[in-house]
Amino acid sequence: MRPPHKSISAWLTIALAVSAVAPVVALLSMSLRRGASVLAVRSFLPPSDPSLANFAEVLREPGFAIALANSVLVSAVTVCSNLLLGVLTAWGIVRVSGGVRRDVLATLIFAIAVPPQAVVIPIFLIFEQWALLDTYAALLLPGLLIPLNVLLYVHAIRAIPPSLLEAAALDGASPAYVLRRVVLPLVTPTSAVVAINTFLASWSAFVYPFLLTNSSNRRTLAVALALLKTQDQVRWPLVMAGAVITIIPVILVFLIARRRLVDGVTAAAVKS
Amino acid sequence: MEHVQGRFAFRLRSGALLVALLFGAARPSSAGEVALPSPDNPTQRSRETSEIRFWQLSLRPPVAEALAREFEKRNPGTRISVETLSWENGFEKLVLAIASHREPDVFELGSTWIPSMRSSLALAPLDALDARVGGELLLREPGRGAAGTDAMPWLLGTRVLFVNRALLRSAGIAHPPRTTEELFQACGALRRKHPSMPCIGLAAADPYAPWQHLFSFAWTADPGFIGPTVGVEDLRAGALLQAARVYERLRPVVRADRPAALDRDFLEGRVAMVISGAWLPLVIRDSGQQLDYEAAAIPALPGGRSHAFGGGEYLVLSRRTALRTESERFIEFLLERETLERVTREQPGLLPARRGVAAPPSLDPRTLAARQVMQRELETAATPPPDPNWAAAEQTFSAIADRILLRGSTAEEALAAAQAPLRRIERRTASGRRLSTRNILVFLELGAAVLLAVMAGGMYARRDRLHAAARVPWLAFFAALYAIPALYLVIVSFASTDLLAMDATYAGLRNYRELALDPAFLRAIVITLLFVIASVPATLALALVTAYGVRALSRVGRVCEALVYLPPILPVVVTATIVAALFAGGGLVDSLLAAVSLPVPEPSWLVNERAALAAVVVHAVWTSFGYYALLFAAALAAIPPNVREAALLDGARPWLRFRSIDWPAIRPVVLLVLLLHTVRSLQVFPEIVVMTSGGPLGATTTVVYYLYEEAFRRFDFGRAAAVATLLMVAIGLLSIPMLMRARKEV
Repeated sequence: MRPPHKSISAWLTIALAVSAVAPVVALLSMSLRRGASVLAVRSFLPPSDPSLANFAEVLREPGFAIALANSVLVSAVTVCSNLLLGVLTAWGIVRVSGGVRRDVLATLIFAIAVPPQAVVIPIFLIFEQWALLDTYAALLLPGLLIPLNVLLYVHAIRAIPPSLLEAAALDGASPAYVLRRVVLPLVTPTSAVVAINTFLASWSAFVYPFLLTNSSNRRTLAVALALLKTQDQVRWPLVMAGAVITIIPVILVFLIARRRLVDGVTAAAVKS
Repeated sequence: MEHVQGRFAFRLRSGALLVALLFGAARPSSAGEVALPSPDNPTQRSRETSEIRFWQLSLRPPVAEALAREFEKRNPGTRISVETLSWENGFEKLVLAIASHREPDVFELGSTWIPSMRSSLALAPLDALDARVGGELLLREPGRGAAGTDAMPWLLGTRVLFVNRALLRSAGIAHPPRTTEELFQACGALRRKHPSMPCIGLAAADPYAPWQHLFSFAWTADPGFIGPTVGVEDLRAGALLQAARVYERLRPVVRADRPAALDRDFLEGRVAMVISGAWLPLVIRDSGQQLDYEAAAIPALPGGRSHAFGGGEYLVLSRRTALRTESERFIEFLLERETLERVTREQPGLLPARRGVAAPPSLDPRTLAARQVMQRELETAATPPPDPNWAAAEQTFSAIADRILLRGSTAEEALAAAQAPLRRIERRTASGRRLSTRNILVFLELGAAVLLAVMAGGMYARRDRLHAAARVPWLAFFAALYAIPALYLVIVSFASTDLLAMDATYAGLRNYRELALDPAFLRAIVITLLFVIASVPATLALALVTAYGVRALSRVGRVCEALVYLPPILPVVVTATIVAALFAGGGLVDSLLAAVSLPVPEPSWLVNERAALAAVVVHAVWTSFGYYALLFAAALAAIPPNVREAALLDGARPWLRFRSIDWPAIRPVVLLVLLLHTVRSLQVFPEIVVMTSGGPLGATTTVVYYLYEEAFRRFDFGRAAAVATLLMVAIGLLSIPMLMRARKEV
């Protein structure tokens, strides 16, 4: 017997999932089509003669392999740095009291408040001034520590019962030990979210990689994808095939991290 | 109190010391900077390599690369590095490059932008080249300024009338209409034969395209109706009025929509005629549809003859280039007949600016015929005025078409409404104290370095050294990527700044005063708030429901969770294009509404002033709820199962369980998401670019879209910075309650 409010939310969820996936199916069917350069409702239907030619063509685009490698590199580095620096920063914020904590929290929220469309201009000028344009630093720096991730960790660490930390401290554990052995396992679900978050952000980042780099061997996948749209005609099937290629890794990361999310919860339950 | 003061004094002292140190350190490096190769200083640039940087948008990367290699083969010792800019942000990149004096030697520039670049002194003269090859080029006018030629036409664009011959024949019409009178007759005949079918598709609800169609009619009566500047004396006279009257008379049989939707309808035989460009024949060819169509000149007004819209992509040379001769030779190479033949062979949708370029051999007769009509029309095409304010005026002229077609205004009303905005577009003359924008950055960076150093010094005085050290990386990032840029914007907002020239003059509160008086800005605020009010609660509610549904469904739930997460991970360009196609006239949304007998909006969603924002909201909710559901699910999962079980055993009712167990656990996350999503909604931008371009008639122009247009279309960086400052203040005020809570929960 399931209480009624649960089944309502269950049915709604299924409906939402269907609505979410329908356009993606359309995307897939479009990517398997040949020819069609105009997005019409018709082109969302399954093609009569599906072909993988669009995928082959996208992969053959010059520089696509380098772009893929760059995207993998940038995503790997930023995910690691966000996990590491994120939890460290949040720990540093939670472990202080009053004024300082509020001030640092304020910087996090302020960072989210800065409108990206305006800030690209000074950021471009800063990177230019420091001769960082068209370097790997330009690809990596903007995403090394995303403020939202720190906020998520702050919430997670704050939810840890203080008694647990005090007990560890009483046992004579050093702060570093507490962080590694007590805090880190307890925030695993958040780490999974942060990993997904960061991977997604760096994998799909377009504006900074595009504006801050020039040469074709600094291109990321999202930038290479944008170049498939040209003036004379938007080759939608190609763009859609490119989009499918770019989202496959995200789905994989999501599925892997999803497991960590569940494992983390079990670990937390066992601990408490 | 004394303690605090003492500490402050310590900080002050150490701060002063650090400033002295930093200045000491900075001096030699700034002296050294003079010797560094700077783009401003041509002689410093390495001469042995002779690398020409070339930025272009039109050619597909492999085609551009092949041309570059060909030129290198013919000119040993010169290297070409090509960069293909995307159509999405390509122009922004160019503007930023020019602003920081790092533009390439040779670049492609749309005719719309030549006047602004010219007035910012970004372009080098090309008179010698013009004397050599100019005689064979079409549309040279936009490339000629008061001081001579500075842009060479390369790949052109025009607008012609495409007619569906089968439909016309079925109504007894033998040939495409040559005059507007014939057009009215043809539409009348079509209406009798196909009562529900629109006769002609005209661009609307796009700030940058509708004027091209409207002007194409006006130019037939008087190719010089718009003078060299946009300040037209009285719009309610002459050719523009005649064209507007044609629009008014056609209104009942017009399909008014965004250009891509019109192309689609023409392809599917749902509209008999459409005004479009060189890409349409290829779209039709590639669709595999056997459409019997023909291209023809735009119908002329009584007594007039066709003068189509002429514009396109020009090649320009940077004023700062060190490789003038080589770059000129490269431009000449790009304009050679063989080069252009090679280009059009690869990309037959491009129209070369040179006469006598052989048509691509592989084209089918129908596509070839349409192409020939466009080549012919380019011979007599009229071009927009060489006014640096043209980019800003474009929108006002497009609004004339929108008002008539979408709002039902009369021709006179629509023209009268355009008068005031045109008057407001006057060149803002700057006067006052000049600021060096570069020094602002250095100053802010020094300040941030000092602050960080002081904090690092302060760490030693503290007990919890480790915790303080843990905060430093974030604070460094914050300074470099958020605080300095934001403060920079605040400072620039008090200056009148041309983004292209990057010269700033102190303007006090002028930018803010002008914003307060600009009805378009006030409207953007209202639209942004409407968007937030509509999208935030819906997104959060759906996310919460999904988070619970996923838990209730166990295995199926896990699949659902992965599925709802799909829209947030797709590129916005893709999701926005899909949603736009669903909301297009006669699209899936309309069919669903009709199926359940609900009214279908007229005009269609994306071109309807009342409904366009709703479509954008649907996109925003659809692409974000799954992501927040994930955050909520993570928070719910963190509740230890034994707590839940205990409550169940105690027989607590669902609502009580939610309030006493779930809510305390997820409340911080809900508040965080509420803040986060409100902020993101206040900053909504990319989907608007793709779905509506801020239209129709500004109905989806949000604050950030307004900001973007000020910066990158009108180059008024000061004003854009003022908008950014106001937005940051607003968001800051919003987050105060959240911060207060954070403080309480210590």
